[in-house]
Amino acid sequence: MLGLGFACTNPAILTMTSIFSLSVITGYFSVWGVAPALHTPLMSITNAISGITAVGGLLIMGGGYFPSTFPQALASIAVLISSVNIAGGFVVTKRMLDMFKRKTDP
Amino acid sequence: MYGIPAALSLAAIGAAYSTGALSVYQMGYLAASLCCIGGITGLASQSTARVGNALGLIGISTGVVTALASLNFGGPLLTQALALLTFGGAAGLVLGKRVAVTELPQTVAAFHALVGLAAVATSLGSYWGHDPAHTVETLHKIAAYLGTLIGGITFTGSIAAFIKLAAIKFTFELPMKQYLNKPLGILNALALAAIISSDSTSLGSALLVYSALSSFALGWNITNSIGAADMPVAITVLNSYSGWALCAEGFMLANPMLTIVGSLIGSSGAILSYIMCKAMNRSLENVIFGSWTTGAVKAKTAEHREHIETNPEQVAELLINSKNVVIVPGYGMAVAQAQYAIAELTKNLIEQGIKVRFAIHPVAGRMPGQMNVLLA
Repeated sequence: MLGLGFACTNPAILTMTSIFSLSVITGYFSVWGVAPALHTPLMSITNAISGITAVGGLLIMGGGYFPSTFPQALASIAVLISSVNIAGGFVVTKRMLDMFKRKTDP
Repeated sequence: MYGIPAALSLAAIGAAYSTGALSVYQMGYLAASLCCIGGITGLASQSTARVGNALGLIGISTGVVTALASLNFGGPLLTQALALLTFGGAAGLVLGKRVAVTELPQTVAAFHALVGLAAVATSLGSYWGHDPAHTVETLHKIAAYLGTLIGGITFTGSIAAFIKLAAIKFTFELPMKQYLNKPLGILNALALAAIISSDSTSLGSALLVYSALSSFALGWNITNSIGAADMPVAITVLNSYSGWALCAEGFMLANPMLTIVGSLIGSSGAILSYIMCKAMNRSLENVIFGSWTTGAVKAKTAEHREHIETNPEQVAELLINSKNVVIVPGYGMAVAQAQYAIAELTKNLIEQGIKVRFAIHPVAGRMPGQMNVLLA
């Protein structure tokens, strides 16, 4: 790991590597905390938040009312299908959780 | 009620946009990531699960709005972005509301395919959209390559899973499927090495296209070889892949939010796969690559004990005469919509002073814990 420090002098990459390692650990522990009964909603909520690929698409979008180059068209496709994913994923998760709903829940 | 924090965070980003405080965007991404982590932690108990879902939604919308604000698009481009988001979102809403409860697993599989395709499109677009005057950074190349590869596997793998789960009778077998995976994998490793060492953009593009196509083949081939009963595991593995593809995107576009959320999803999928494999007393390799060795294994387990068929009257008599009843529901209950009948039965039995318990196998149904959802 220290070798990476020698081999790579770009601080942005090293910061990103730190973020990556720490967030893997965070993910590991928060997922083990999830109740087994809620594993299906967990699947569908992780699916919904993976729609964050929309941001990736947005970052490389370009052109005017319509994309003007092929890479920009690819970016637009990414934004479109990721937004299907965001909305659909959260609706599906909500429907699953509503089935668990008891009268006492808020 | 959840609208208040959402509105506050969006207002803060709007204020930053109008005053030009650029550092707020960094924090906007951080807030979005934290909301996503909170969303998953919220699922720790049933009482907080719904708050968790709302948190996740707030996180994603904050992330998207932050990205939009930081990019400072001109009018036409902004229109294009908003139109795409609205249109896609509306389609997602309709799809999500329409599907029946038993169809939820394949819906999630189909949504995974979308994530995979989006990752491929972003990786390719980012590589080709790069300013031709500069050479592409090594890290950018690695991330774009991995993003394409993992995204591609997720895309076709999820489509194959969707087809199996939706019980659509469609099979398309690649030629020589037993021998395809290893050579494709090795070629991909070589191509990755080539793309790192070469500065030529045209070679790089060719290699990326190769990566996309071969990963499509790989994803299709691997998932199609997995038995339908193992599909829950396959879906969680694909879920995990879609997370790692997001991580690659994060490295590629130098966006910490994508990396954080991606690794969250990646580890979640990996842990779920592990839990389910454990419950089946099998290893992950056995599930994914097991179809090539099952010939020998099946012969050994052939000496089943005979199962005893029964009829409703016998069951009723048995139930009334017993003190302890354990119900083990399977996917058949879900298809027959029998969960309401079971609930009534349970209530009657409990009234008679009989102890009723449910034994739910983690892999019952077609997604992890699907039975828990139905019985709730």
